[in-house]
Amino acid sequence: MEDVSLSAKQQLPTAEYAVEVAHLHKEFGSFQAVTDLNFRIAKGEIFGLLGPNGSGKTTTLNMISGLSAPTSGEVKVFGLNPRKQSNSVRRLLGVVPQETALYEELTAERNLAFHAELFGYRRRQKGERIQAMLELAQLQDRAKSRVKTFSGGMKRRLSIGRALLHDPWLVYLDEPTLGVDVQSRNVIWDYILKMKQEGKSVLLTTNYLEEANALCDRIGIIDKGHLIAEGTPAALKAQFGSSVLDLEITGTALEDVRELLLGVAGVQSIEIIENRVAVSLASLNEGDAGTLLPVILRKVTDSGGVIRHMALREPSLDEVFLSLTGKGVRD
Amino acid sequence: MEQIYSLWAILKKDLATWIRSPSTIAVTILPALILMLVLILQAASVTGSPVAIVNQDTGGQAAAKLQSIAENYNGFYRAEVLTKPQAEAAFQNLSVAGVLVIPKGFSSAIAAGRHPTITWQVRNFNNDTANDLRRALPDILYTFLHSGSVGTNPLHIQVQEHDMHAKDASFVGFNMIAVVVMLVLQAGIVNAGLAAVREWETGSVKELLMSPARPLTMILGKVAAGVVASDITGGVALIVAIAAGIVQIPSVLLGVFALVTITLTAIVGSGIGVLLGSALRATERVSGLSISLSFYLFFLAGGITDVAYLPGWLQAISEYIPNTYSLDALRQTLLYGSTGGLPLDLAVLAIASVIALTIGIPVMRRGLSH
Amino acid sequence: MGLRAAFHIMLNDLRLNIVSPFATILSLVVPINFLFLFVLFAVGGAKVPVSVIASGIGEAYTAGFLHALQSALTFHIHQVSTPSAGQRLIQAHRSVATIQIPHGFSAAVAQAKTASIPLTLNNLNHDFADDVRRAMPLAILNFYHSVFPSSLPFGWREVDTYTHNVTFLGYLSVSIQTVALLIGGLLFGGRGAARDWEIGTMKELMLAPIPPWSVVVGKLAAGMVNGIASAVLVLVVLLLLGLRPLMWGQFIGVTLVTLFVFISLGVAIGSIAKSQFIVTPFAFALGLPLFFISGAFGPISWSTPAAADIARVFPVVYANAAFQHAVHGYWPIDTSPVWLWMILLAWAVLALCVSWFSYRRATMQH
Repeated sequence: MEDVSLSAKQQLPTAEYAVEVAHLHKEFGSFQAVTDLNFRIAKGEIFGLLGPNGSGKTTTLNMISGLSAPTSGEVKVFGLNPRKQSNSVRRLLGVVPQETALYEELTAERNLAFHAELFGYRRRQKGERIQAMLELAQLQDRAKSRVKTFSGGMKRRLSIGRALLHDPWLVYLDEPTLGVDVQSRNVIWDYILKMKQEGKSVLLTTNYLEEANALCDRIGIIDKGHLIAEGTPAALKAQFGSSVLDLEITGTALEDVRELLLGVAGVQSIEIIENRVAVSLASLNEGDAGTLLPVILRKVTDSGGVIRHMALREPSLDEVFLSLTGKGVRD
Repeated sequence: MEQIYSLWAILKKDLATWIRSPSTIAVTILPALILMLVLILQAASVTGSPVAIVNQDTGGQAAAKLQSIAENYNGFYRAEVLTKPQAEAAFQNLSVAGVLVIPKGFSSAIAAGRHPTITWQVRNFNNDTANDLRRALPDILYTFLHSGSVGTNPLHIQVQEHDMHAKDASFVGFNMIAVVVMLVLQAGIVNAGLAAVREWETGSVKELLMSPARPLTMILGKVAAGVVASDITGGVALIVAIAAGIVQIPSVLLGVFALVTITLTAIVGSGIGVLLGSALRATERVSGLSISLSFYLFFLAGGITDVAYLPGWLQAISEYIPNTYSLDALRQTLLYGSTGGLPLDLAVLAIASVIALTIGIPVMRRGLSH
Repeated sequence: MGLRAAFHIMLNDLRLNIVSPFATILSLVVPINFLFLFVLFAVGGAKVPVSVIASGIGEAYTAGFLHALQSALTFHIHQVSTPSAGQRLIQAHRSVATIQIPHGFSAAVAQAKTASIPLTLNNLNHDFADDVRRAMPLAILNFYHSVFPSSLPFGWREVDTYTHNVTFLGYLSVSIQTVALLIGGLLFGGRGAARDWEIGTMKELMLAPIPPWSVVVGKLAAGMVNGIASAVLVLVVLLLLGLRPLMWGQFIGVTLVTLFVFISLGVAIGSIAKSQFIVTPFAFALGLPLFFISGAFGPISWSTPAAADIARVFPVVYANAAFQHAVHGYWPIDTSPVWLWMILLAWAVLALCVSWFSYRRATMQH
């Protein structure tokens, strides 16, 4: 990544939190899109908002950006009300929409210039910012090319450059690596981490849990308009159990194995995935491993099952998500 | 054999897509619908203008007769008998377009051979409405003279009319044929054009290129689908027209000729469509341009009138417009029950089909190889 | 700040038009296309082509009757020498009737005997055939009126309101100019507004620190620039047709107000539909019927009262009357000029409000 500073030194607001959401409700007619939502994003923090499609993520983000008014409750962005002080909030907020939303017929430079013009930049400053963002997006040599000739990754980089052009202190990225190749994904991850280094707050929605795991300081899981879990990735995983024992078994019905093992003290929950059972274990201390594991293995072999393969690992965020919402994140 | 299967497969696929895309069907019938709307509105708007009649010869018999003929003249939208000041006011505020004044003592002046003068005040905003009014007065007076109210009819010229068709076709039927021609042509252009574009837009052109079908087969398949869709569209329109009593049921032979004409028109349209689709390669462009194009082809071919009514330069152009011949052939077969001029019409359409395909095929082939 | 933003939004829209020239040219020529098509429509409805065989052309009254046919305001006459030549012209679609003034016509007329005029009529349809059938008595009466005025027991005199005769094409072309601005305006306004929704860039505008009105103003301004460019093209064609506005100020004024009204309504439609594909048929579906009922061929007070009442609700009829006045010098409407201008300006305000509320509603629902 080029060593380009993202900021043009817009002063960091003095408010304590980047985002404060308190008792937020949003109704569309009789439909409750968001119910009693509460969370905060600290300055310089990367916060991931996860949830299945239609869970209320977009509605929440529209209220944070001031595009939509809450039915009740409060949203503050750097202490400001996004509806009443919309212009100040918009200056502090940079948005990278999922569909990139660029003018495909115009050049990369022109897209940035239009954004600069909307944000009131004049001549010299405008030119400087455009150059800086082209450099950041590594698109200097393609500045005069039409966006429609760009790859998905290039468009995403340009879209990020555009969002950062006016030097926002809160950057919202909606599915920033959706449909992007691995190389571009790494570049985008680097940008996000660099934003944090510069003290910017980042609000991220993603369907890739490994992405949330790798980037986010904290994660909120939202389902049917409710925030059902919140915490660091590690804390969320701990809620699910400290370790997972994967067993590949033949010779017996997996359902029977599940029944059998649920009774064992120290087993929190069991998921059957294809020909394998994932046994999540409550806090597993050194001593426990010696006693709990043999108990489990013996139960399986006694029931006539043959263990083909076994592994002990950390739980994944997917499993946390699945156990909390009852469905996969991409459903 | 294999190529025939491929052709059949492409035809089926294109037709299935056509039937499932309302926007394509909308673009297909839109020009014909607009045209019908124009015709209906035009038919409704040529009912003439409202006029006022001022009869200052109260009690005169000849004047009363003239007033009655003028009131019942079918070229006026409305004829009201008013007093002079009322008529003046109505003329000023544009509620009437003309004022006919029968002067005081009109009847007695005629009886005495004094040649009274009738005044016809005309609001000549434009020649179209004004000429209707200008023609109306001599028409009324002619009827007046023939009525015998002013003694012997001094007019000795008689018109011996010989009509070429046993019955006058209705204005609506005449134009309905034009609507069908436009529908068939547009259906051919849009279906073949959009079917071609769709392959590029959805990237399914690769699927075609990877198949054993030859480019020629693909193009013929698309044209065939366009033709079937056009025949269906045109056929439905004709059946509706026949059911509504606008067009009469033709004999089997004439019906076959009509179908051949429609099919040849559809091939020409599809050929143009493939050409447009391959050249423009975007739905918006093809649908936008095809609507304009079919309107131009339509009007340049004489459209809602007959080629005979066009100015010389337009007549010269219309000879090179294929649908001129479609229109003629369909009117002959379906309106006048005749085969007159049909050999020429069908020959020209057949040649035009061949030309359209000979140009369309290499263009699409070139497009496919990109 | 708001105005500057509006200016940049306008520039951006115009830039987008320039970089996709095909669509832009297609929109710019829509109005002119309309003009051409209706001119073709109008010339098709001109005079009836007939062949006349004046067998005894040297005879005294034959020439007189030929002249009467020529001045019957109906025929375009090809003179041919034989009936079969006339028949050939009918077959070749060059004429629809053959009128024969036979030998002995002159003598019969002179002796007040019955003189027959054979008419072979290609009765293509009832309306076309009636045009010919009606014109014959007219020619006969005019003939007697000019040749034997004393044989008719009365005379008649036509009083025209205006000394100059405006041609059908001259009147219709001005009406088409009005509908061209109507459809063009809806297209420019509608597509400009729908495009940002379609490609998702509306969010970029909504999230910028600018007042919402600057987006509407920017879109309207871009539409006006496009509309004016298109109107200039139409004007060039009008000038080529020999139609020079008598009152330039009024002509420009009506052009701008009409464009403004329909571009504003276009922005409203574009904001609601959020799709360019819907805007186009809508513009045509609204434009064409309005054109026909709004005095395209003559004053609405001469047409069906129900249609006239509907027309009075919309601004097209007033715009058209003001255009006719600017070009031909008369008001073909029963509304006073002061009222007419007030209605047009009220429509401009109303259309602006509608576009504003539609835009706000579209962004609120987001």
